[in-house]
Amino acid sequence: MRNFKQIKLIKKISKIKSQIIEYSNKQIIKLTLKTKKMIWSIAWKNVWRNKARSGVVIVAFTLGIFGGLFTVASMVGWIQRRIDLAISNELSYIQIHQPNYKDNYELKYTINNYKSIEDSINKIPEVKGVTSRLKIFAMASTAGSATGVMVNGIDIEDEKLVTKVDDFIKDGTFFETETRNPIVIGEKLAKSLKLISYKLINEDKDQLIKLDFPQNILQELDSLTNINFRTEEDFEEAVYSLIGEKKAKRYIYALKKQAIKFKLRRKIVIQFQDANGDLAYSAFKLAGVYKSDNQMFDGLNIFVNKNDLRKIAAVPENKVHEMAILLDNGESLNKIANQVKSIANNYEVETWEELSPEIASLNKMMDFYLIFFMIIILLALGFGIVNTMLMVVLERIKELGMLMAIGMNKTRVFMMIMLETIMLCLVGTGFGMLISYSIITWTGNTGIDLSRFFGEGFEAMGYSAEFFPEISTFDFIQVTILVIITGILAAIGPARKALKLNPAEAVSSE
Amino acid sequence: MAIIQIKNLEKIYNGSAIQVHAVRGIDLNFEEGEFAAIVGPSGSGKTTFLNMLGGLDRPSNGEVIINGVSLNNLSNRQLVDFRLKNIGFVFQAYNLIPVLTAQENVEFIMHLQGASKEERDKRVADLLSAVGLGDRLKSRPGKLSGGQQQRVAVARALASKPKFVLADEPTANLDSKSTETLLDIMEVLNKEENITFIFSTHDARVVKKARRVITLVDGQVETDEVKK
Repeated sequence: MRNFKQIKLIKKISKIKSQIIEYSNKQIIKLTLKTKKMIWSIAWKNVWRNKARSGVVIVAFTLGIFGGLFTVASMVGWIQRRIDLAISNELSYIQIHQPNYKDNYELKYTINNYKSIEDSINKIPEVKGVTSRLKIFAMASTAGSATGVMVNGIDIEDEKLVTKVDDFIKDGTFFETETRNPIVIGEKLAKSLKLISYKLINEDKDQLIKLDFPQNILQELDSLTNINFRTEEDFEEAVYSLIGEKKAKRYIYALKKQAIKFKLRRKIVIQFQDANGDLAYSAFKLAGVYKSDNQMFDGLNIFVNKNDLRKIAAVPENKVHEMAILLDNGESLNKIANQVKSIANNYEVETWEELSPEIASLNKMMDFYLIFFMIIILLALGFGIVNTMLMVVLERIKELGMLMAIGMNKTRVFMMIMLETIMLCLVGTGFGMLISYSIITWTGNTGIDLSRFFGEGFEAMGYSAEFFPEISTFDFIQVTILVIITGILAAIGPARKALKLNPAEAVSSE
Repeated sequence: MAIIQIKNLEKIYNGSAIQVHAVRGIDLNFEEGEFAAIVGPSGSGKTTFLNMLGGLDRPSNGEVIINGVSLNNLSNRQLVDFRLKNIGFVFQAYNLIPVLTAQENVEFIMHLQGASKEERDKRVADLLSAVGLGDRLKSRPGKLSGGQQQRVAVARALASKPKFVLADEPTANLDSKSTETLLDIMEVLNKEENITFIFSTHDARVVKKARRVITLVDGQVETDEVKK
């Protein structure tokens, strides 16, 4: 049995032993940190060894990152604009219908006692406005033409709270008229119903000059002043013949936009089958013309006073076909949708994402596109990096051989090449991100207006030609991570090549 | 006791068609403080011998024992660490790191050894002063002459406090004046600090300074002359 002295000695030895281990561990950590610092420093200096070559890589990265981020930011901004307009104009955040209504839009499928539902919904604090509509598919006809339309019977003031159609009025007013049976239609429909003409008056010319339209072109078009063209084609033909095809192609959009005149107070007859199955019709007078960024919406939707429509449609007083709800923002959409469901429990309550899944999916697609674009760009840049770093290794065989000869182990050589590559990538990325951030922020505030070039095309697809690029901080972080991964992957080949060097051969290489 | 023992050292290169015996059974010992030159015509095996002596290359047969440690028994990783702690290298083409200053080039190896900043600063300043470059600490290799660069390389080789320095044709790229200066510096360091220098050389001036001259011919020691 050990005596007390022996036990004390053993304890003392074990204490000293643990102190030695602790000390040597600290020393190892200290040595590793010191060496790492030195490798970081030497790798950083090596990045700037051949300034021209590093400069080319950095510029390539800068342009690549900017190209990718700006393209995605533009697409995100463009789609966000589409979503914003869809919510503020077409869908609102939440809509309520009778469950069968949307199958065939039949008049009989109505929401009953909508007023009490409206009152309850209005009590939800996040709700900005509620509007109730009668909606009927009908035939609209004028003396010159006829076409199918969706008639929206609205409460003017409620509608103003929920949609922005009143903001898009291009001519006339949004029901600020004493006229009997007023109607507001979209510009696209006005064209279809031949309720337009083209006439360039002196006020239009002054307005164009204010918008930096070239005066010499206006002088060339002087003979068109005050001439009324009944169709768009006639006006275009006259402009083309006066200023030639090249100039006309460039300026026709702005000229048409300014010269278009609407035939306000003209009669439009609306004809449909009423709730009793009888043919109903009534004449309305054109009170205003709106133009949103979505020509499809403009070409289909007309607005009349709900009471005017109710009279001819034979829909009872307490019934509507659709209720639309606008919220302060979309943050608590699902929570409020559930609240609305509990209020309107017999009806179908849908969020804008459910009403228009194709628009909602655009949002999700953008995340995929960002990754997709960046991977393609970084793949191309990655090959450039591999090439550059292989050249770096081949040029420095002698030096790498010397480093290995004097005692730099392979891990450190590998780390040095990896760090050098990653630093090179990150410098380029830093510049790329700085430029991207500045330009995206700037254009995000000013907006990019392509209406002069592609206005009609975009609007025909339902998209605005003006958009505000935007990108999230998360996307920037995502790109940085992708760049670091690219740097690491691109560095592996050259770094492995460096590891395969035989120091004796490398030192004496030419 | 000899700090370096070389026993029956052989190196055979296996080419695609023929085998080349670069070094054929060399037995040599080096004592501490020697100033020795390995001479011989081109292709005599000087560089191959020096590479095996410095642990940069493995022998086909035989062994190199430094301070009682046989290099054959060390793994590649252990060999790198052994070189770092025991051997200083001076190369024909200086092989300095162009992005680092003279001071940084010399202290680089001390960084690898984990020396403290105070230790590094003092030793680097001492070494660069000893090789006559005390005023060029912050100069990059591009701003130094060939002779000055080789002196920085000597300082770097000594920075790790090696057991011996191997110099492969250190004066081959230098003019007469630089060669003379470099040899004088190395001789002083040898005599005053008792640092062992082993050169491979063609240069008659180096041979003249050396106190031991080993002549290799066809990979074998032809003569081993110790000057009085």
